[in-house]
Amino acid sequence: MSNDKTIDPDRWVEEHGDIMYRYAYVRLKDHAVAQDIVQESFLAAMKARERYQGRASERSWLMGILRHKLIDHLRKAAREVKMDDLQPEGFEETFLFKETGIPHWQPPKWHFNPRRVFEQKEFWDVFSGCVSKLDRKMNIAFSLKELEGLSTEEVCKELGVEPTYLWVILYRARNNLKTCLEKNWLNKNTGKREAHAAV
Amino acid sequence: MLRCKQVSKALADKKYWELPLRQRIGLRLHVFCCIVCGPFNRFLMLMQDATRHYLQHEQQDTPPDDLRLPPESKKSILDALHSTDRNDHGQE
Repeated sequence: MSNDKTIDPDRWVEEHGDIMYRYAYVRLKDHAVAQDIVQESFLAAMKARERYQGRASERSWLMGILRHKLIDHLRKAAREVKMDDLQPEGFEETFLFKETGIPHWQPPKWHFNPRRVFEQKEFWDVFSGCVSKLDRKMNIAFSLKELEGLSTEEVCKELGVEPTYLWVILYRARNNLKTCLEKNWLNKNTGKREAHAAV
Repeated sequence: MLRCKQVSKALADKKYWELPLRQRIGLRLHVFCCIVCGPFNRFLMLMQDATRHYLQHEQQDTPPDDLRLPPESKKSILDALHSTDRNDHGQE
């Protein structure tokens, strides 16, 4: 089945460009590379447009192409990045880790209930900003394992680290993400309240 | 009865909803009762839930202004697409 909707590049870029760009930028932390990958994905889609059967939505199809390109890029970036300065400081030898498999007993407490804001679009805008602000190494590990769902073995292979090391990187990434979410979400709401009070 | 280390290992490897139902029930029970690994693993499960919600929103919601494709990038992508389109038609 040929689908006329699939061969209009202007509409593609207008309807899906921003979503694809955010997807790429959050995981790559680089505007120029994100733009290149989005462009490559659109070009690949143009070349493969005859094969698009319309079974998946157009966005899912385009996002699938983008995801493949992005994972390839992240794999390469993972091999190039040095993990030395994230040494887990001998936590593997601690009694807590040996007994429970966790590096710290108490995670940081929340100052608001995050589940209550899961339905608010603005919270996810803050979330995407915070993922893109993670340290490059944490961002790569978090993107491959948590966002793209690669297995522990695959991510460890790409990063050249042991699983315990990956757990610590991800633990730190989650903590940093939580700190960033809290700071930015509370700031955003304080700003809103102040603006409301000033009216 | 599951041990803390088994629960932590399972949650470190997989999202909790990807685990088999039986394992999930035992795991939830352990995480919500355990005073040692409970706080840590509840935090981990919350962040897994947050990530799942984020992935759904990411493909639907319009991004905020600072995470949109800049107009000059749109133009450059469109130029590349039109030029490929012309070449493809030229070859037919």
